[in-house]
Amino acid sequence: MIALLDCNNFYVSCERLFNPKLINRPVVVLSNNDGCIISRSNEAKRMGIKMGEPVFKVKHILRKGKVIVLSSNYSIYGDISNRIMNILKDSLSDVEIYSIDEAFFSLRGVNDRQKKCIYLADKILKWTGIPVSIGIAKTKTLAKIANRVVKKKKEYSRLKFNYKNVLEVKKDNDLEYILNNTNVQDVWGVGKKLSIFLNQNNIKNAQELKQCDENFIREKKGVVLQRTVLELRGVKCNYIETSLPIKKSICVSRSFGRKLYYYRDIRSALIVFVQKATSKMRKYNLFCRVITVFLKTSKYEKEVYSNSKTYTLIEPTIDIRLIWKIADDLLRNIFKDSFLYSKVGIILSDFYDKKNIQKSLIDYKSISETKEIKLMKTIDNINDRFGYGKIRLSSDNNQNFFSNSIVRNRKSPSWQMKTKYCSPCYTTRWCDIPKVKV
Amino acid sequence: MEFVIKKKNLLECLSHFQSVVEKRNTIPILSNVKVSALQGGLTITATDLAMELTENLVANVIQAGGITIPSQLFFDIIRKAPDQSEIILKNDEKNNTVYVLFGDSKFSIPMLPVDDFPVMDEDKLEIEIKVKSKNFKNLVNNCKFCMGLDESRQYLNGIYLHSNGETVSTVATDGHRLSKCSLPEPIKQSFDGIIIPKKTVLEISKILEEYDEDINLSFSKTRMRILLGNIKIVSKLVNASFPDYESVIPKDNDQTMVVDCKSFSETIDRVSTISDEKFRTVKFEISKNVCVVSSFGNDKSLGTESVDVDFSGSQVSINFNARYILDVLNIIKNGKVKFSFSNKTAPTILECDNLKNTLFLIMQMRA
Repeated sequence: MIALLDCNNFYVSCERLFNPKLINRPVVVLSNNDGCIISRSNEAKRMGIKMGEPVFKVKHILRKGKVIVLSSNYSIYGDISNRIMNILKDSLSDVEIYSIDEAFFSLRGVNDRQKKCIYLADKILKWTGIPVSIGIAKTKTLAKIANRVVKKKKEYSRLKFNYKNVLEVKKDNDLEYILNNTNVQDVWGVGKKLSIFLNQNNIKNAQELKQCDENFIREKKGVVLQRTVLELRGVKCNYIETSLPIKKSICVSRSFGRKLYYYRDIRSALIVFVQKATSKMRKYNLFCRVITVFLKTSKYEKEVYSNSKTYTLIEPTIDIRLIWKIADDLLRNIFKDSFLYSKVGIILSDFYDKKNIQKSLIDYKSISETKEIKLMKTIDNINDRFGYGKIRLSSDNNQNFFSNSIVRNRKSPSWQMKTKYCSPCYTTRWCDIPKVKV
Repeated sequence: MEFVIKKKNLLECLSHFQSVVEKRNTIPILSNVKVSALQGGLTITATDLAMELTENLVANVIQAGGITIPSQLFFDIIRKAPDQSEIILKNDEKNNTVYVLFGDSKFSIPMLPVDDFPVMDEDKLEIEIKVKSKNFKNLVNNCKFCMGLDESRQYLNGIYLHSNGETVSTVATDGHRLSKCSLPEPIKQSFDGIIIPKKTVLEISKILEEYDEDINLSFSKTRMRILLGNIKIVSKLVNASFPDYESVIPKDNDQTMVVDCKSFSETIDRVSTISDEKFRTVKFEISKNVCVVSSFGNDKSLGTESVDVDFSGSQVSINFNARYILDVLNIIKNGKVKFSFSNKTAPTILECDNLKNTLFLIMQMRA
């Protein structure tokens, strides 16, 4: 059996951990640049605020309902997520971290599965303060549906729930009832587009998808959706993946807090993104061969411009110095004066692991692979220990940017995202540690 | 313009043009071939603006003139004509139409003005060399598989033809492997090296398969012309400097392994089946006249095979991309192959007695 653990209203729950005033009040968390609503408390949901809604569209509801609005603070969410995943990994052998607030795990060999899951949910609540829901079923797709049922009990009123936050679908009748009452769009792997196709073919709920002709599905929409059909029938097609698959690409980009005109400002943003991207790549122990830099204006500008340029290395690298040199050249190539830019980014791709690196014939005498690896490892170790950005490229003048700096209220770089309503980084910045006055 | 020609002759000629004409063109006339009829024969030309291929063939010309006609369509019509057909081609200048006639069939095709067809300049080609077809085939075929693919390194996307004052050599490299082939006959003419672009190399190689006579090659710094009997190829050259390849050829690779080309190639092919399609890593562990070839897959799968070899040296453990080794062994085909390894990080040299003037370098993968 497979279980899916999902944290309830994760971002809002994280914010409530350190700010008890938010409890029992409507709270929403916004996406990058404070654009859209990406997490809502139950109180906010009841007010009709929808997921993904742009803030400007619901400003009146937010004001009228005295909703507390917060910018997203990923350093807290990431840190809390790590704690939750570590609790799971300590208690179970096969855990697949699916997203920042979701994890699949295997319950093979566990006799009383619901009891085990209740124990885990209680432990997570006690140790981290985050409420979670767990759905248990034969396959990943069914576990996802079971998890949804736990969160949306009202939609499944005929179902008998033994526990508040855990559900195992045991009886066939129950499963049929659940699938009949689950819209096909809410099935894992079926999005809006696919659901339009399925609706046109009279497949409106999960039960109808389960019973449809799988060969028709394969022919029209491919093997991935066919797997979903089989998983709904209880045939396991997707296994728990404990090791991370090799990434296809790493992209770091941000929309600027305000439009940028000058090359030096864009360059100063890019250098931070390059360092973040390479550091992420090294965490996966990967070497990249292809480097792409892109730059664009907003599509709503009077004069729109967008461009990207790619460079392919002969020998894959992890060396930040080389990657930055190339990225800097690429940016210089695509930058044009007289535009107001809204976004720049870097994409690293064509990854190789350490065992499969084809060396360059042309400059094999000048590259010292061991020195390069040792230096990067040292930089990463120092930054891990003393704070991100403690050692960075000398061209990088963003000394105020890195979130782990000791002093908080320094002036932010001109390109930094809007985070008007951001909470302090309670767990990752020294000066933000909550103070208790006695 | 009007002429009559046998299907077989015309089809054979048109087949040479199919890869020169780009399938998708921004300039419509580049999808066409130019057909010029003069007394005694035809001249057919195709170009992509970087390369121009011209072929002369005998035909019964009734009225001289010139037309342009869509290459692919023309080829398909002629291909489907009955084998013994006599093809008649004539144009109606008033209607801008070409008529293709054979048996009871008649096709009318709109044409673009012949004056719009671009012509490549081939003046001032200062250097001229004459090479035996067989030797030139070796120069091209022993190197072409090493040409680069990367758009950002145009200087590697072709074959470097140069002279050292004694003879003429070609070199190609994609940055991971290199192959060098020299003419066995001395050519004392000295000239600056040129880089023949990849597409031109592949066209020359294709035409060389059915050509056995001497070849005339003329070139300047920017352009080249090659005459292969009735066929003439004019091509722009890659405007870049080729890297200093001599400096990467190691001088002191003192550990050697001699293997039978065919059986070793089969071993590598078998073992590498298990390797990841992207990396194709194979490992050679050589000691005491035995080479253990092994490979591993993503899912911890492993394949090994032992091969008896003649080895002189202490011990070697080295990783290669199997595809690179197989490409070289496919060129050598049979006989004994000598691998020369280095103790340091230098590339491995592959040589064979069958190909005396050819040398292959393969850079290893990180251990």
